[in-house]
Amino acid sequence: MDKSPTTELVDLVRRAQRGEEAAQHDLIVSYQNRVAGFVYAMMNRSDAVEDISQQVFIKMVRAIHGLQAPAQFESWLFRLARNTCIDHLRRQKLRRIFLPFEAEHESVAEPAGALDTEELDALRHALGQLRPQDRALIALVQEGRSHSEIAETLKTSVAAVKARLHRAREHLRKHYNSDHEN
Amino acid sequence: MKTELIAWNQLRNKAAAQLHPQFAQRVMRAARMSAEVAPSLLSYVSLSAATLVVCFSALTYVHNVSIAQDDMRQSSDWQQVLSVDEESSILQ
Repeated sequence: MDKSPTTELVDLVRRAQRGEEAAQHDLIVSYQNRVAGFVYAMMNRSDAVEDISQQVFIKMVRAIHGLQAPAQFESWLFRLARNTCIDHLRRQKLRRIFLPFEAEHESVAEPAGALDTEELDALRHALGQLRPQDRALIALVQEGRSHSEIAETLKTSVAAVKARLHRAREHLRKHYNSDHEN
Repeated sequence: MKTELIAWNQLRNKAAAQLHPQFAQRVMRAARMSAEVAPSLLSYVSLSAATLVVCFSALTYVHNVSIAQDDMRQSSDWQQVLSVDEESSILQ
């Protein structure tokens, strides 16, 4: 009998929880691209993607044994990713206060890559105009998280998620369209 | 709307391209190393206790030294008062 993808994932997570390195490795391989995409949307800098994604997966390896519901692995992983990115952004903000020159260097927007398309530039610009919390919302939706999963991740109600998401999407669309039209 | 979807796909592809081909192996290695290097709760508690003992000892030492200095100063003041008193009683 074939196993469903969910059962396979739960098995893999259980093995990873028992400390099987092969299973932990397979989980990283399965989710690395999605986490990298999420991190890029949150940080808006490609040079931060690998470093922060690595931190997310190190946290995952170290904390997976404490995950109560293996079926909730995906939401848990993206919660880790979101919290890691928000921590980084907070630290950046603090550094900006104490080390203004270093911060100046950090806050210089990443130039559009030579191979970046107009669409990607416009999206990056629009994401850059949103608050990190709103970027996280949009990025979680793009990752296929449901409203209830997002509400659980953000420790808020589904209605609040829907309202914030609606505002964030409008904001994103407004900036995306204005940049794309220029 | 369609261009936005294209842009999200491009963003995901670009992000994925930032990862080293051996990304998972690197993470596993780094996780292993951080587990070896990471201090345990016991070491945190021991360090805190040691810091507390050192601070308390330093505080006690400084307190005792300043008390001893005060005592010496006060006793020499009293000696002076006594000697002045003695001199005045001899003169009388």
